[in-house]
Amino acid sequence: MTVEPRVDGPLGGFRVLDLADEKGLPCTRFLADLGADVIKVERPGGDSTRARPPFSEDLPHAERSLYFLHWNANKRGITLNLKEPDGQALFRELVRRADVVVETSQPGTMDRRGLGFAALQAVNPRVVMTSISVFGQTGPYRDYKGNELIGFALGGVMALSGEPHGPPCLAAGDLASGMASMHAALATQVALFHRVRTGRGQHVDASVAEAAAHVGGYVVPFYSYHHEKPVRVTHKETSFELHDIYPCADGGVRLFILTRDHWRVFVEWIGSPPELQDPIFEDQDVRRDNRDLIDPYVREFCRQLTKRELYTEGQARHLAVSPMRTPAEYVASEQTRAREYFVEMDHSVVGRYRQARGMHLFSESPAQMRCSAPLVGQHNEEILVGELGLSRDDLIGLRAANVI
Amino acid sequence: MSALPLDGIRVVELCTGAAGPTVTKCLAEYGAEVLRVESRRRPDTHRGGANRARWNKSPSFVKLHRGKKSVTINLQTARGQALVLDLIRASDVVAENFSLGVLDRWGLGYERLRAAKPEIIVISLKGLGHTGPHAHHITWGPNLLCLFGMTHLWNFPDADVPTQEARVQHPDFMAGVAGAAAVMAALLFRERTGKGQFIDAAQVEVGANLLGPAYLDAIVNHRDPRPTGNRRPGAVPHGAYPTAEGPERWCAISVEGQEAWERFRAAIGDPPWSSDPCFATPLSRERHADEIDRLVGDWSRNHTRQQIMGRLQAAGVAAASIQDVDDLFERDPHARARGLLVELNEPEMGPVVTEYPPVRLSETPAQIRAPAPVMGEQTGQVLRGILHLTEGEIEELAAEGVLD
Repeated sequence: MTVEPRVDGPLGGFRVLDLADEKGLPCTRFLADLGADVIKVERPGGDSTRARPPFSEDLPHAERSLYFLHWNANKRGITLNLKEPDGQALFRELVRRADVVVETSQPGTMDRRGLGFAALQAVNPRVVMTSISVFGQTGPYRDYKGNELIGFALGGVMALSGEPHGPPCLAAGDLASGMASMHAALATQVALFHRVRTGRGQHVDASVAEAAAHVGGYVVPFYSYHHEKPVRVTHKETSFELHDIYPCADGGVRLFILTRDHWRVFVEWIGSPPELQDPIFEDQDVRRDNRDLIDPYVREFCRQLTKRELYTEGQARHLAVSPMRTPAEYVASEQTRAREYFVEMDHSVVGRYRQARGMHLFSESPAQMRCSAPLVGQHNEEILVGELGLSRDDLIGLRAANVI
Repeated sequence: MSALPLDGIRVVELCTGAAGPTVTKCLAEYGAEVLRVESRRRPDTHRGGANRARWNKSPSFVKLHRGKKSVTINLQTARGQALVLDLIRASDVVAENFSLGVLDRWGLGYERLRAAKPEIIVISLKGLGHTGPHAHHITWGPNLLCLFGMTHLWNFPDADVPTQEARVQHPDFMAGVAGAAAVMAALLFRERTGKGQFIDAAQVEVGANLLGPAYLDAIVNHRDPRPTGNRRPGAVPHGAYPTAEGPERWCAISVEGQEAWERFRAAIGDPPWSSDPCFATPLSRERHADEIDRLVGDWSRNHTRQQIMGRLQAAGVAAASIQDVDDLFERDPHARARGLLVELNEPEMGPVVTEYPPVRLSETPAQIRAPAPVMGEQTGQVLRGILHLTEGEIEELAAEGVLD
């Protein structure tokens, strides 16, 4: 079986070997969405992320993980045991034909397998190796154990989430790993761009804990300049934007009233209460100091209307009002449907379903949803026989030796 | 200052807020020359807003605009628009995130730019994208968090109010980094084909990408996912635990799998409760997670965060201090060793600290080459150097109010 070169998308023609777990999957999915030929290299039996919930029909099975399904769309997949010399040798053969390797193992692991950056560069001087780890490839915590929680905790953002005096709350969606992955996807392409001029690849070292520091707002420059440490605050926060969640007739709604003009329109919308008519409230600082006076009016107004009414009427007045939606409500929303964010796909075990496409729409090189996540070892023959020139007997031998 | 991969790439920034400026900030870190076009008449919030006394003294502005050049041009004037078009002709990339339709009104829509320079790459960031019935909606980062379900999911399962996630401007920053990665893909495409393009970036679709598995749960299993707080399947204990340092100082502990549990037990001194058969296996621990959380809290409450992290990590158990911003500055040897915090000397502020990117490239590491510019700092330099205007022409433009 021959392989058609994949040319869809701006990264068509680049090949990526994907050894990533949770920490790096958003990076390799991003590259795959842009048209790179991403080959997921899993251990025999399948990657550990196939055990992550949710599962279709709640059946925990390697081909039913919806987590795996989301993050591995648009990729091909093979199995290869990188602990075995035969697996390592085949991996080096793949590296010879690849542009990028993305890996997320504990620092030092790839070196022990003879697959560290120096070894890969010896095979292919053009290869870019991107390592995403919790702490990074250097520094005193390098060999510590970690995951999303640990990285998020160190970054300074988790401490600000949750209610005062209660425990901090971990974000949904592996936010720190997602941020590390986006920086890694950026840096990987910067390295490819550099390679156009120099012909040489390089090693990219991304850290989830450092990325966590980039998720948040401006606490680092604020602390250094104003020497003020932000603390967790109650929902009577002393902020002027009124950006709390206000309960409404059927859920919650968020406002973000920033400018003078917004405030004027907002006061009119809520019925021009005499106490709020004073132009002095047009000043952000005055609003901040009088939050307790303003808040009951906002609360009472929101209570009487539905999410949809507040959203529609607020936006009609060009006010930043948004409903607090559940995931299912986002899937069903008009805007999401109009932009075809969820694309119909087919998977031999899960069946027909819809899943999120890539993040960006490119006018000249539109990347498309090409395929659902690979089954375990789905492309072993296509790649190991079709490209590396192994025979079917070789495959049988490798299977018996637990290499594929 | 050594060479960087994007040396020679010029970017025009037509942006306010955080997402668009983060795209160009990331490109500047890899060598791009970024020309931020701004206005004294309509200064953006991070510049300091309407209050001139605050200009050039905004910590958030330093984070968003370090390493760029500030060019003040009045885009309400035809000559100002023509000047910007000339700058774009001399550039490779345009990043913009004004409200939908603003650039068209200024005669700087994509079709016009493409006619002026066919190989131009334009990234246009909007909260909800360029198309669809809600494309014109006003949305700030906290509004977006509500719209795609993040606010709903970033919480504890039994909470009766949404948690305090509003300090986190996600997805502004993530959309910025992902946007820079999309621009790199377009640059690589242009390198090979000579073609530019238009990139439609919806911040909500970048943020939503991380919640893909939750949407699949809704689509495939017809279930609306609920918040899970600090719980993650397969790990007990996993979450935030109190420490001896007081009510706002927490630590994170994550014990995943049987071996880690045995190491954890030994590290905390094999207390009698830990050998209770109720806690003997992963399944039994999942079933008694609340009780284990309480017992682990009783232990952690007697130790400092550094003691907990040190003792558990020495035993190979994932643990970390849940750091506040002051910890990042004063108590994080790892951040110090890796150089996470970078001090810049701002012209009117003095020293301000911001974060180095969470990624290191072995051959071409990112550089922060300059502090954030004061308003209009490079207007003359850019007009002379890039557009070859004479002093006389510049004076005339200033007198006519074209230079702002």
